[in-house]
Amino acid sequence: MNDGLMRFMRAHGQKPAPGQRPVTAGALAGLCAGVAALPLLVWSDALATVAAELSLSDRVLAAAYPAIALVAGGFYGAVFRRAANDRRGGWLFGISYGFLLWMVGPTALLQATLGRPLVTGTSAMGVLAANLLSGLILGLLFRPMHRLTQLRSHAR
Amino acid sequence: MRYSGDPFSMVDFMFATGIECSCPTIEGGRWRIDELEATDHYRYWRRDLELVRGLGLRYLRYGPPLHRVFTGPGKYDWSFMDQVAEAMQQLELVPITDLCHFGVPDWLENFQNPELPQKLAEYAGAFARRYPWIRLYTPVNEMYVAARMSALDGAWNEQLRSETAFVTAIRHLARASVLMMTAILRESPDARFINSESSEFYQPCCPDPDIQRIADFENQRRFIALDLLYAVPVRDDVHAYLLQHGMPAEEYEWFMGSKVAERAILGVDYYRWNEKLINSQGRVEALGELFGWYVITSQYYDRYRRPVMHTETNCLDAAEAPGWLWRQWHNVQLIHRAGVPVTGFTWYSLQDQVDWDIGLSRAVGNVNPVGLYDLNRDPRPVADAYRYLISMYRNNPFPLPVSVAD
Repeated sequence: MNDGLMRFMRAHGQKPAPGQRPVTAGALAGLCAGVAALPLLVWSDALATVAAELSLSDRVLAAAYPAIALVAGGFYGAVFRRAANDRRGGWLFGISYGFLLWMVGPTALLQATLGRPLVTGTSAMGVLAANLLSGLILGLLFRPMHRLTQLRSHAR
Repeated sequence: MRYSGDPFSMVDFMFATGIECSCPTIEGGRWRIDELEATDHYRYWRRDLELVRGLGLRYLRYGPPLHRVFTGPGKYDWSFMDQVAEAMQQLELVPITDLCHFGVPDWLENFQNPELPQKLAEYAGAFARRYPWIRLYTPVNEMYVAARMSALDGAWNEQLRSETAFVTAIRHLARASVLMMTAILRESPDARFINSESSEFYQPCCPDPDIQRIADFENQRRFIALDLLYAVPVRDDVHAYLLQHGMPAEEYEWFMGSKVAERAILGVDYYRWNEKLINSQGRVEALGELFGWYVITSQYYDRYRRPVMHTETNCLDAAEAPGWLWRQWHNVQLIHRAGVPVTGFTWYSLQDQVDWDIGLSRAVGNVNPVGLYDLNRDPRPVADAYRYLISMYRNNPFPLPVSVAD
């Protein structure tokens, strides 16, 4: 909320709190999405392949993936804010965001860093599918997570 | 608050909101702008009613979709409204029923149709007969704006641009209001009316006599619909203007003899763009608030001397909306202190609106963030501010006594 608005509400004795918590909602939804997409990475052998490429253990990458998804979800909430909360379009925003992350991450940045494709074959399909799935879940869960944060705010 | 000795006294001060329900046609009647559709009210109507209650409100300006309900001469489809009415009763909401909001069914064509007043009266009578528990009505919303936008500015419905078309539209709308009120009272003798009108004011920019003349005429024109409805004689030059543009002298006398609106509240709508400047080119320009609701409403009250209600306001900038809400409320308190009986206050509308930034002239789909809730039904900051305001003033809207001497 902007400062002028807060001042006006405070002047009338109201203590305004954020009515929207998109970053929190996005982070929570992102975390859930990361956890949900993890089995797909394991099943497609992408987790092991990527871990090897990055010189990490499978366990470390498995723990890092939901954390990355949490940060990505928070960023998603911060960027799309009220629009991410759309009843009918939320899933589409989410899956598009998952696709965007795939384009920016495994396909562009990591490829540029490594000088070659991060993964190929089934593992590559697994990375794409995991990004799309986590994006879809992020988009679908954003609204209920947002509602949850609002309920907690009102309860307080 | 209570106005003792007045048979039309209000038991409660009416804190209200409204569901935006404008439904004019555009592009020669090929498209209908249906705000209930655009804002997803047909889909989420039950949730919308619950949100109203959740804000601590009981009064709701609500316009059933005339073009969907009144399907032909003597034909009505009540299926949607029956569900809404039942839910309203369950939630103990008190609707201020808005029977005609800028549009009419296709088969009634537009505001130039001479049969319109009688047909709308039939509709009003049928509505009151079907929902006898409803007591509050706005027969025709903002007659001046409806006539101006349709017959003078060429944006809606008949899309004409002539003084004769304007006079015809305003005659028909005022006549429709009188006949609708009569029909409703026949079915529901204790009905009350809130005639919502857009408050307008035209300020001449400079001393140029032509500019002064234009502003003076526009400041008379804004009153014509209410003058006819409330049987207040118009100024001589306006009377001549009406007759010159097609109003029969006997029809004017019929309006002046009408007593049906004696039990009506004057609803005064106010937005930032309602006050206008006649610029040096003689054109109308909306430059924002010049004097405010208090000053403009005082002009209307001085002319009509009846209880007033602030029946519409909002702010296009969602971040500024809480400030705008409080300013409007303080205007209401100030006018009460000046001795004007004020019966209610309204933030309009419950949900965001669509394409009002372009005056509903095209179906673009611009979402205007003016609602207490956005189109996902998530609250905007102004919803919290309004809830807080209501909780503070619900039981005593005017803590300070009337002080005419101030």
